[in-house]
Amino acid sequence: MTGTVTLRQRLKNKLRPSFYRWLDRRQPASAEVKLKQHLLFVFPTAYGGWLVILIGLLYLFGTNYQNNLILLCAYLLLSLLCFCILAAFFNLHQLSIKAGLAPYGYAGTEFMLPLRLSGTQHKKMLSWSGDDFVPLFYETLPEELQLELHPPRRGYYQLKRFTLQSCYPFGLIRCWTHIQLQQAYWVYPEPAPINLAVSETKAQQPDHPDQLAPYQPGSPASAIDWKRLAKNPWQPVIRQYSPAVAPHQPRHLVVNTTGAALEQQLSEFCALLHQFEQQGQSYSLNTTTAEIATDQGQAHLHRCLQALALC
Amino acid sequence: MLNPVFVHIALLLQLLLLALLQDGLSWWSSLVLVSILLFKYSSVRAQKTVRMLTINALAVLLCLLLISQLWQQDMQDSMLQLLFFSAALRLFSVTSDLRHAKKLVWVQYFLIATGFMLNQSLLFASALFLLFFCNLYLHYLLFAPVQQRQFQWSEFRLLLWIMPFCIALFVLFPRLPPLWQTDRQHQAQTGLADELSLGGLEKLVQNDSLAFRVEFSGEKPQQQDLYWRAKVFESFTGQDWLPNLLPAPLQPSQLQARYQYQLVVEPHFQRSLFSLGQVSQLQGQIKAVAAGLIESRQQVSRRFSYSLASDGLAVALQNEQEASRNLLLRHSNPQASDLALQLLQQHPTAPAYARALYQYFQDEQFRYSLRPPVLNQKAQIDQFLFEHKVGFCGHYASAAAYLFRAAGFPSRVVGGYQGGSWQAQGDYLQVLQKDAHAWVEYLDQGRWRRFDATAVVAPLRLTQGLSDALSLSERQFLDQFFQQGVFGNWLQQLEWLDYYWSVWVLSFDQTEQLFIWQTLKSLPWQWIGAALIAVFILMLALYLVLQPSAENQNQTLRRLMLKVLQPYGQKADYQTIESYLRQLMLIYPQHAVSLGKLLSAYQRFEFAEQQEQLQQCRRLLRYLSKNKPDSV
Repeated sequence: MTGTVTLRQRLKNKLRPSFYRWLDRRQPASAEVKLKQHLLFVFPTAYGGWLVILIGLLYLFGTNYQNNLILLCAYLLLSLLCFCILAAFFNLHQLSIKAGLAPYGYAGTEFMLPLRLSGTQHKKMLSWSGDDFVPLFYETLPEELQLELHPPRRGYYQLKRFTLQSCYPFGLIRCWTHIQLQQAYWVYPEPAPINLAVSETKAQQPDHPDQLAPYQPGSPASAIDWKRLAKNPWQPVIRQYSPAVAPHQPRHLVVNTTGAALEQQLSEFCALLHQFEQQGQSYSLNTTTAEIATDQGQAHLHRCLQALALC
Repeated sequence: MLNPVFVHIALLLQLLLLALLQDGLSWWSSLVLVSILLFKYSSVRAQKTVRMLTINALAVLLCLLLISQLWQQDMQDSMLQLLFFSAALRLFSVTSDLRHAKKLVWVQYFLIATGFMLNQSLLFASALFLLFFCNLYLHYLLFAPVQQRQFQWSEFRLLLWIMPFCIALFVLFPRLPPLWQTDRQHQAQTGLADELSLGGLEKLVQNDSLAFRVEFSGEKPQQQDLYWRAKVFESFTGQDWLPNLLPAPLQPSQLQARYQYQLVVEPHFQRSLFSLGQVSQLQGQIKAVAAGLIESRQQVSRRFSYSLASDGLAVALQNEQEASRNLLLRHSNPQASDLALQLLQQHPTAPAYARALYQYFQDEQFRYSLRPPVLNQKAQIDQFLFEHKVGFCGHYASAAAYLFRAAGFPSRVVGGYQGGSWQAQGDYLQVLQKDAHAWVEYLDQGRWRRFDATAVVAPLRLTQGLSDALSLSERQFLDQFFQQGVFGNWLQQLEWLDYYWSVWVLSFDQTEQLFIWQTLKSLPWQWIGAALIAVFILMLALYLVLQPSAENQNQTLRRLMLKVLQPYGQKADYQTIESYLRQLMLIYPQHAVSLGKLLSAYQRFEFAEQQEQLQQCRRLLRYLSKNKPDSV
């Protein structure tokens, strides 16, 4: 039993690369995929196979007893099977899946990758599965889909080819497709607790209650206390910093370690960059591959974080 | 996740199925099934689950029971019971996961289809098809969203598409002859018995169930010629007539067949079939046997249909052995033998002798009765002919055949049905069991001529049926066996529906399929194709012609204005009609007046809905198009 399984898996592993190469030629990665005939595979399920056996048996009985009504039953099931092929096909046909902006997350924590769908009417019982997200099952499709990505290592990733399939209706025929979306995502290093040697702002306790104020429209979004927001989303709170500490000296961060220490440093830098941005400081970053000049703002922050991720 | 209503619907379905399939289930299996279903119901109510071990133990027990009963039961019934047990136990094991439910649906499909072996009447079949679709719904529930219990339009559309496809398959998909013989052993036979005693057929006459139905495609025979031959009895034991037939091939008739007819026979679990006189063409799973009779290739265990052509003549003599075989007689009735010799002296030829016999039965004032006195002497025919002179068709046939043989004319008794009643404005003939009849055939010039003493004794029996031939008291005696009531009358109304159900659906076979294929092939396809293309083009043309008129007058007017004013200057997309016209008025001062009129007319038509302004607009536009500005 185990022998056959391993044989099957070995065969599968052997065939998979060439199959994926063939798929890549057939459907190169694109930002938006509309499911058309050349992308959809339609094949009977095991249950469909059992139904075919049943049809054969009924035909045999109907023929042998010359019983037209049993034959009629067999033909009913046969035509059901035939039309299920169409129904299963149209259950996926014309569905379009659109990639969004590259989302980001931090190593070690799950995060969501949104996909926009259109043409979702009458599409039912779809299951989504792929190597890099938790399998999803939808009875009816929403307009926007959130794929929960497995927490990977830091870096810049392409969403791998994933499978979308459905046996609806009657579970006799399976219609599926393997889609390659041009959808990337960033995984930044995991923020680590900040080391005193690098940080001089330890004295400040930003979480101290009297330094928190309710969010007013116009307050900088970077000042929002995201942790509290997660706890209580209806009452956003911003951190206020005493003007005394307003540091205007640009900070310079240089990635200069390797090996295990590198990861530790990247994590600390990740936390620091966030802190600088919150404090309104300007900062620059030097890594082995990138050199980012002094600046501030969300775009700058992400540029720096991306540089860290690619280290 | 299994839909919560699934188990309840499946329970209901199996209960209904149990009620419908009672005929095929033994009493103990019905009992077991009912208790399984009730137990399942109570466990569902109490939300308890049953361990698989219990179910498997139960399955083994039931299988053993079934095997122990196997030798006493019919193969089909055993299969039905096995399927039903597996369905019930599968239902027993269904909890919330799909695995068992999928198997349950599969088994139920099989079970329901097998149910058609029991009965194929319209009522039963429609009930069973209803359950089939109920199972289809269960199947749908398995794979549909859990909250969604109703079929949606898209699924209905799917089912509607299925129907014509299914019918096309039914009509056109190739059919095969039966692969192996399937006779039902443990089934009581109905219809004519295999021997005919002197007072035979009495039991049959008290039965008003359907024997068979006939539809003539052309000329219909007279009522008194409707002698449906089913069995021929050639050997006489002194008490009973027994069939002693030797097979012989059917001799093709040179004559043009006079009557073309199709019969639908009710299951009677015998092989003998019915025909009129000499048969010349056979269609269906039937074969010709001795004495001009036909037989089914298999036991008739379901409604069975076949077509025949007869020329309405007497059956031909097949060989010399047949003639000599039908002369054998033990002279056990001395008085009758004496009578035969007396009559023979005056009437030496067979037809004359037959006429003399008719005369004899008439002169001696024989009576026709369903309740003749008991024949208790050894020489039964003597007692009937010379003592009681009261009898039934069996008596007359038996006595007449004896008299023919005693005079040296080969003769035999034929059992079958006589007459029938025309249904649905004479479209088809319905023959009931009570139309059972027996008569005599004697040999004359190579053919077996019919002799039926009933024609003389009770002529009404032949022309109007049995009840009219009987006295009032006998009719009342007979009526007590026939249940009738409001419901029975109502069912009588539905008889014709049931008839066409059997003719068109149940008896559809290779022959008819071949006929349909040939008809399809012989259709003028080029003409049909041409007509279809012509219709398509016509529709397209109509659509194109009617398309513009579909939009309203305002749009038409706007389009016309833009077209006419094109030479004056193109209208920009952002411009309204008004600003466009005002711009044109500025560019072409010589047309300013007519353009201004056009504008006001247009506005009145468009916004004040003054219909008469449309004409004004058209007039102005015509004027403007005539006096185009010189292109610069």
